[in-house]
Amino acid sequence: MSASLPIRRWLAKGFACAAAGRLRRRYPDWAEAVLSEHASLSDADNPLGWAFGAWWASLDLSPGGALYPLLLALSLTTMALYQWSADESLMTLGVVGLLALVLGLLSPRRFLLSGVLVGVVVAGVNAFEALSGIRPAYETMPRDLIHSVRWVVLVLPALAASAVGRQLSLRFLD
Amino acid sequence: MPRNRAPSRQTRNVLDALLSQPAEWRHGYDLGKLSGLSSGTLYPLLIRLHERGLLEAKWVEPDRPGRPARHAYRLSNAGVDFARSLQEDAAPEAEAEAGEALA
Repeated sequence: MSASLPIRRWLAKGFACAAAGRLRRRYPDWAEAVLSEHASLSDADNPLGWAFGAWWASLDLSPGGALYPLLLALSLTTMALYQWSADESLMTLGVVGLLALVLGLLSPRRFLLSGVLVGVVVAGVNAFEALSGIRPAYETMPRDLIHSVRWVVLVLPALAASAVGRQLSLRFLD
Repeated sequence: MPRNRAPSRQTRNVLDALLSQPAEWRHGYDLGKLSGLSSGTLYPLLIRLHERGLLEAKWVEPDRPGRPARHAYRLSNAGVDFARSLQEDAAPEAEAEAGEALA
């Protein structure tokens, strides 16, 4: 037996389980179908390729699934650019809340991930300024790292907003 | 059943594969091989056909002990009609293409 075979089996099982996990809420019968089909395949049937395909399909079939990674990246970029172009203000809080709300609405299952990632961007950008010394033109004083890291507190409103988005999605969209 | 837009080539492949032996129940893996589609394309199609009432699904006991029951699929009556109507629509086009190729 090739040494890679157990790894391939393990990966195939992981993809099949991940696919079933994504499908379970909306298509419970099809989630079980993916698992049973995977368990029925022999090594000659290329279960890894099959399971990866099933996982890929589950991205498309889960609510907001295919769009989520793209919109998450777009949201984080928007947040970072906004923070780079403006100082912290109530508007910053508004942008954080809006982006986290939209992401929570789009993918209720990943509201924690959305809230945390959107919430840490401001602290991340500030920490980058403090560590690198590179800062936007309007920033006349260098930042200190402690001051920067305390903006992690924005994770809390971001989480609250993504949780609201999640509730709205579960109530009205699902 | 009203058809809002022409089905994709992949959908036609699945329907053709199922229509070749409409009474037979087929597993997802076999259907993938028959239609030439990967599981990533096949399963969303099967789910959508099932949601539209064109596909029947049931659990089938395994043919070998120790294996789990498997999901199996075949066209519903509406699915058979739909697949046949697609084939009939496609036949004149195929004849025209063949005629052009021979000309």
